[in-house]
Amino acid sequence: MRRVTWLWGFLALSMAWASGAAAGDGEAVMRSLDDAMATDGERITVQLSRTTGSGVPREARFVMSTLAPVGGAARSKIVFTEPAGVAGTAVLTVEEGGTRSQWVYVPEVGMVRKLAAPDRTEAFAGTDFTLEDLKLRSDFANRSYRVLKTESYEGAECTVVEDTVANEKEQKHSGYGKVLLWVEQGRWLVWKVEFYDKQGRLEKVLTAHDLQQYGDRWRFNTAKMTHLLDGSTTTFAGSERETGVALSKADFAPTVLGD
Amino acid sequence: MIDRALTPLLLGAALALAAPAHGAGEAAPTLRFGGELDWSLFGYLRDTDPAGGVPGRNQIQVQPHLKARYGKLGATVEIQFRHDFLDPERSRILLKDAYAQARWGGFKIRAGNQVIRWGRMDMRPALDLLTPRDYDELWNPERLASPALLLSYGHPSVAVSVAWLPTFTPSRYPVGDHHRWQVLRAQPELGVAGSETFPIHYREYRDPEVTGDPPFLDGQYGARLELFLPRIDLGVQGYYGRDLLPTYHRFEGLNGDVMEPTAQDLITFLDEGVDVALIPVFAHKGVVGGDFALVLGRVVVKGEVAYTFTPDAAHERCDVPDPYLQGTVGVEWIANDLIGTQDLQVRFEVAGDHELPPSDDGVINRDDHCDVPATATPIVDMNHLSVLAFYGNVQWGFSDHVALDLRGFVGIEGDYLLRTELSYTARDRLRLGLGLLLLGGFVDDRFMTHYDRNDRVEFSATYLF
Repeated sequence: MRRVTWLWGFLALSMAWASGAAAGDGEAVMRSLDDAMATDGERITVQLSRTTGSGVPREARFVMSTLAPVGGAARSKIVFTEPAGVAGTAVLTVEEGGTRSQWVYVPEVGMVRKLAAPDRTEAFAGTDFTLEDLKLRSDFANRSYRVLKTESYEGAECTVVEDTVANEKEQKHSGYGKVLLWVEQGRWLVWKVEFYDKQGRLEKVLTAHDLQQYGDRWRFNTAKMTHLLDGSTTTFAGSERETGVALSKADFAPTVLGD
Repeated sequence: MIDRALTPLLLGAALALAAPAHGAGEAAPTLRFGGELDWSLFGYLRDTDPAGGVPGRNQIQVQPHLKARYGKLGATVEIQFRHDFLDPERSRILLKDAYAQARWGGFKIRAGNQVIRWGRMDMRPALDLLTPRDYDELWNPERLASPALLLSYGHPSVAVSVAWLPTFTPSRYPVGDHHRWQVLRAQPELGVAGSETFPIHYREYRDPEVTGDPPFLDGQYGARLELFLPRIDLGVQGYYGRDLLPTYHRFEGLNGDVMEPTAQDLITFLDEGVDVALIPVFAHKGVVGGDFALVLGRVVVKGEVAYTFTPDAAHERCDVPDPYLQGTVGVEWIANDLIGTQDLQVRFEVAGDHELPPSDDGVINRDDHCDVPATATPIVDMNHLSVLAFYGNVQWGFSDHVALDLRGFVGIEGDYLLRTELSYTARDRLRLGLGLLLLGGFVDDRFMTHYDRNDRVEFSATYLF
């Protein structure tokens, strides 16, 4: 199947909760954001839709479960339910200590395959998201984070953080010249992300919508990525969100991917 | 008394009925219905089949499934309905899956009719020992579910699984004269007695022999331990059971004694040939092995190896196979967006098969010519078709709709097979395929040579629902 991985980025946009942490510089803001994105168990159903200037919209649906406790490995399992051609395909991703491991269950052959590290500039499931867009945690070893300004966005007071490469290796692998994030401190929400290519052109804009509160946590249930250079748009619309799900590490073992 | 084959099915039913309270934080009950409707047409490039095989294929197949999930409980049923307008004997109703499962923390129990696939390789997976196949298409067998009980414990980095199949379910393979992949076509056509040769007529194909062992060992048993590490997955595995394809075929003469022919028998054989009945024999075996999958940059290197123990390391018995070592190693490379939005997947594997310790009789796996009559060509052992074989598969996705699949293998002894298919997928549900299958032997009397009239073009239309 084509381009299946996981969706940390959407999670990053849609997960946040009240936090008393305050931050004065970019790295501190991002560390607080990372903590806010931690979860002891969540599940959400996502409807994916991509529209282009011409042609039929491309759609898919999947259920995503996540377990990412503070200080622990981040685990995610995506199980596709639509379209029928990929239904049952499941992708498991584990991020720990800067290493990402992935396995995919392919129903056609009834087998779990270990996946090699993909190119970060690859598209996710044929959408406007690349794998680089879909990360949960900040990379302080290879990226630099700087606070540019504070401004209001959609009524929220946001800190604008500039995310750039910090070394030549990252320069080689990253698909962007810089990334700007609009972060609301306090509730620790990312309202908007701008992606600039290496020539400095604004390439894509990611915006978050449908903010809702679940207990003491706030979530965006919709994320929209607009590709300004080719005119396409990808929307992730979440539903049936469950927080506080009793998930354990065993639910993220490669051997249960086909269940 | 309850038939042992029913035990996993009954356990499965019990699991399905044991619905606990819907716990907080658990997923809501779900019931998913799906499946596929497929129409396949084959046209053979050599329309004259001297063996009288069917002229083509015109088949409709429906395969619906129903999957229920309720918290940690689940059940799956899948049935295949098939009708072949040109070969009604292929028409069937087949229970593919019918199992229930339950999980408690990391523990899982699955009981019922199911497919248990272990190992990592696409070609000759030496550790994939629990699943019988239907060799209706010899080159691309279909896995068959069989009654089994599977217990496992899964931790993110460690998994232990134990499987028990209470009864022996052998693989199926076609024996009807009209079938294009009839296995008897590959058997020797000429017998030898002294300086004389005589034709062999395979008149009967009898029920298999699976006797000779204590009943409690008549099932199949498997255990597997896996480690999942950041860059490498490792597995070790043990198995006790039987060959799923016949270990060998015992010959029984119908118009004379083929093993110790009298003078009158020989006259009869020379005059009218020897009429034989084949009796497939499925021998017990024990297997230990291991496998790995290693991430090296953008590729995954993987392999598996299995050593099969038998009691005949001295190569003295005809009714027991000799021990052997089978292994496969390969690489897998997946490149998405390689050129624009084009995707490429490449797999290449090498498989070896060697008697260990080796004997000097030149025949893999068993002493020759002591339980069958002398033949002009070696008797085919379907478990050991090639000492060394190479397998390749390229899947090229030109777009979201158009893809090319090219796959094939070459055996060092001269067998080859090449299959290519161009497919078009519309709205993620309707898939149209146009394929070409070419096969045969670079030298005479190879296994595939007997099927070289099966070169064909294929058309298929599949609707997923």
